[in-house]
Amino acid sequence: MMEKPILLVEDNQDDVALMLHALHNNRIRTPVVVAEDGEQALAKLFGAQNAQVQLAPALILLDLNLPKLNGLDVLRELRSNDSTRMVPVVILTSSLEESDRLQAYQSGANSYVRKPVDFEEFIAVAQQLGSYWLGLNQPAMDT
Amino acid sequence: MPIRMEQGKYVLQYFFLIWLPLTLLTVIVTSALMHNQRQMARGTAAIEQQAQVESAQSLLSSRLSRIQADALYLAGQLALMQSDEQATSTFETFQRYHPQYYQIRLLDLNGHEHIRVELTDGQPLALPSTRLQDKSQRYYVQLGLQQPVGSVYLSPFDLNMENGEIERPFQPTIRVATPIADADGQTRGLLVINYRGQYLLDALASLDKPNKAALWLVNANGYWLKASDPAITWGFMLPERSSANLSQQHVSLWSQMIREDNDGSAVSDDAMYRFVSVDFDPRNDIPLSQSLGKLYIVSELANKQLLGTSQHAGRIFWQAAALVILLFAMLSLLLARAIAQRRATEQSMASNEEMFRAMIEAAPDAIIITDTDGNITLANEQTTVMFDYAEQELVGQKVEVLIPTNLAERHVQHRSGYMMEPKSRPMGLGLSLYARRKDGSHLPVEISLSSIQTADSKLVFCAIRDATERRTTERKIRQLNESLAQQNNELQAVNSELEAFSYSVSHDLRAPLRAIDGFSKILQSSLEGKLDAQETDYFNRIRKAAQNMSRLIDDLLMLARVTRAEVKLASLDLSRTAAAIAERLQESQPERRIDVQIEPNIRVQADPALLGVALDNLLGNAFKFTGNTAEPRIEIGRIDDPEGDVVFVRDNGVGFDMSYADKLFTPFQRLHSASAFPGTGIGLASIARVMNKLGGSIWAESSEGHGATFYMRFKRARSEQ
Repeated sequence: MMEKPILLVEDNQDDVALMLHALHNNRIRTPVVVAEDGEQALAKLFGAQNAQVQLAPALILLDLNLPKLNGLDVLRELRSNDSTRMVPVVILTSSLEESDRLQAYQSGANSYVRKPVDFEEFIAVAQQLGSYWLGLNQPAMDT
Repeated sequence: MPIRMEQGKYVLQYFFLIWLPLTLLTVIVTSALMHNQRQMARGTAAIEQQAQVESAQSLLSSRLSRIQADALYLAGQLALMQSDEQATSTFETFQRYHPQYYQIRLLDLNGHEHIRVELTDGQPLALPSTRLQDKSQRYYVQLGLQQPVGSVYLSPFDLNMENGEIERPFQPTIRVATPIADADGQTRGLLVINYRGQYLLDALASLDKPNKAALWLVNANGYWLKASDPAITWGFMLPERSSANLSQQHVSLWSQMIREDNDGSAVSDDAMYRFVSVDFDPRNDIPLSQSLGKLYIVSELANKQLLGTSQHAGRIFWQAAALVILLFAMLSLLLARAIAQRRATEQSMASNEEMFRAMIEAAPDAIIITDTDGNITLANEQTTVMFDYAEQELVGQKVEVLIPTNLAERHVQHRSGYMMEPKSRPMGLGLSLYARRKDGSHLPVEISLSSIQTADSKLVFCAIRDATERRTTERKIRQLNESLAQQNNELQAVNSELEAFSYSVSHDLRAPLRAIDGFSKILQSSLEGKLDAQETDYFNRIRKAAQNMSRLIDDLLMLARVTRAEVKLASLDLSRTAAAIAERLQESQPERRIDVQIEPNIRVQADPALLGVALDNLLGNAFKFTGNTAEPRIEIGRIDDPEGDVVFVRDNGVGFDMSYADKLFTPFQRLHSASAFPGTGIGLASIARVMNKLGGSIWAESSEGHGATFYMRFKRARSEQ
C-alpha cells in the first residue's frame, strides 16, 4: 500500500525547497505533495474538476499567509469536512502574532510552529514534525 | 453690638424729647385746673357765706320781732287785768309756754317791782312780795318808762347781773321793756321781760357749718357776742377780755365793717369774711351803751378750712396727673422705640441702597434695571462704556434703544411675555444675541434676566455681558476640536497601516532571510571539504547577517506591539513574573551560574503582557551584560517612594557611562559593541515605552565596570494614593 503523503501548503518556493531539504536531511522519506495556495490545496484534497487524485495525507503543513484562500480558511474547510476532520494540521508560519496563533488553534490546528530563520533550527523543527506527527500517526500494519 | 447701643441711645433721646414736654404740659394743666378749682371753691364759699349771713340776719330779725311782739301782746293783756293775781297767773301761763323769757316783771311807775315771775327749775314761780326789789335806778327801767305806749325798748345784749355780780354760768340776756297803759291810755306801769339770749345764740350756732364757715355775732362796739372761740366773747363785760375786740384783732375787717354800713365782704391772709349789720335803733335816739342798737353778723371762713377741701381735691388732681405722666412715659417709650426703629430702618435702607448701587457699579457686566413697561430706571457705568451712552441719555428711555432695530418690535412682545412669568433665566435660550450701541453698531452679548419685587413695584434686573471674546473663543474651540478629530482620524489610519505593515513584515520580511540562511547552509554543506577557511567564513557571515536582521525585525515588531497595545491595569505579582523569566533565561544558558535575588511579594499596577515585555528585556540585559563578570549577581527589590511603587533591577555587570544615560532609552542606541554584547538597541526603548504606557517611568544609574541599576516607577492604584 502506498504511503500517505505530507501535504505542504506553501506559496514561497524557497520555503518549499528548504522544507523538502530539511525533511530529506532528517531522512523522512514520506512523499510530499505541494500546493501553492489554498484553492490548490482544497482541490488536491477534495478533487475539483482539474484534479485527478483525491488526496488523503498523513499530515498537512499549512502556511497562513497564502494567496487566494488563506491558511485559516483552508483549515476551517478541512475541519468542516468529515474525510479531513481527523487529519493532523500543523501551522507553519513566520508570524509571531499572538492573534494568529490563537485563531489557528481556535480553527482546529493541531500545532503551531514558527519557521525559524536559522536553518539549523529549521532542520530541528522538521525533525520534530517527523518524529512526532508522522510517527504517532503511522498505520499499525506499517510498523 | 454698637448698632444696638446706638439705637438704645436714640431711644433714650427720643423718649425725653417726647416725654418731657408732655410732663410739663400735664403739670401746667393740672396747676391751672387746681387754680380754677380753688377759685371755684372760693366762689362757692362766698355764696355759701352770703347765704349764711342772710339766714342769720333773717333769724335775728325774726327772733327780735317776735320778742317785741310777745312783749306788746303781754302788755296788752296786762292793760285789761283788774287784779294782781290775774296778772301773775297770766305771766305764769305765758312763761310756761315761752321758757325763753326767764323773768317777767311788772313795775310800777316808781320803778318798784310789783309782780315778778321767774323760771325756777323749769317752772314759773312768782316771787313773794318780800323779795321784790326797787329797780328805779336801772337804765332799762328809766328808758322803758320813757317809751311811748306801744313801743318796745330793747336793752344791749349782755350778761345778766345778779346782786351786782355777773351771773354764773353766763346768762346772756336782752331786756325788753314796754309801758303798760290804762283804759285812758295813760302809762300805769312797765312790763320788763328778760330774754334768755342763749336761745338766740343757739339758733345762730345752728347756722354754723362744721369745718367750714363760722358765724360771729358782734355788737356795735366790736365785741363778740358769739364767736367760734367762746373765750373771746363778752369782752366789754369781762375786764380780762377787754382786748377781745374786732377793732384790735381784725383791724382792717372792722374798719371795713364800719365803713360799709350795711353789708360787705373782706379777705384777710387767714380767712374770707362776709358780714351784714342789723340796726335795732335806726333813729339813734338812745345812747349806744344803753340800747341793743346795731348788731353785726359775720361769717368767717378760715383759709385753713377752704384749703382743706381744695387740698383734698388737689391730692386727687396730682395723683391723676402723676398717673397721666406715667402713662405718657410708657407711651413715650413706645413711641421713642418706634421712631428709633424707623430711623434705624431708614438708615439701613439708605446704606442698603448705597451698597446696592456700589455693587451694581462694581459689577463687570453692564447692568440695567427697567420697570414693567421697559423703561430704563438705572444703568451702571459699565453700561455707558459698553453702549457709548451717558447714563442720563438712557434713564427714561425704552430698553429697545439697545436692541438691533430689526428686532426691537419683536422684543416688545418678548418683554411683555416675560412679565407674565418673570423667572430668573438667561435670555434668548441659546440664541446668539446682539445689542445695539449708540452709533448703531452691533455687539454680541449674553443677557440674564431676573425680576425684583420691591415694596411698590416690580422691576426687571438685566445683566448684559459682552460676548465678543467668548464667541471668538467658542469658535476657536470648535475649530480646534474639528482639527483634533481630523488628526485623530489620520492617526487611526496610520495605526491601521502600521498594523498591516508589521503583519506583512512578520510574514514576508522573514521569508527571504530564511532563504538566505537556509540556502547558504545547504550550499555550505554540499561544498563541504571544497571550501577554504575564508570561503567558510563568508558563508558564516552571510548567515549571521540574516539571523541578526531577523532579530532586529523581531525586536521592532515587539516595539510596535507595545506601542499598539491596549493597557489593562491590574494588581500583579512582579516577583513571580520576574522569577519565571529568570528561570527561563537560566535554562537558555545552562553553562552560566548567576545569583538571582528577588524580593518576594512585590505587587504593582500593570498590564500582564507589558510587564512581561519590560521584565524580559531588563532581565535579558542583566544576563547579557554580566556575561564577562566573575560572580554574576542580579537583584530585584522595592524602594519606598512617595510618588509610586519603585522597583529596581541591579546587576554587577559591565555597566555604562552615565554621560550617555540620556540616550539609553532611544531606539537603536547601543552603548556597547555588537561583537562584545550582541543586541539590536531596541530593548530599553521598548521598556521605556511600556513604562510610559503604564503611567510610570524608568531611569538608570551606573558607572562603567560597576554594574547598572534600572528603576521602574509604577503608578499606584487610586485607592492607595
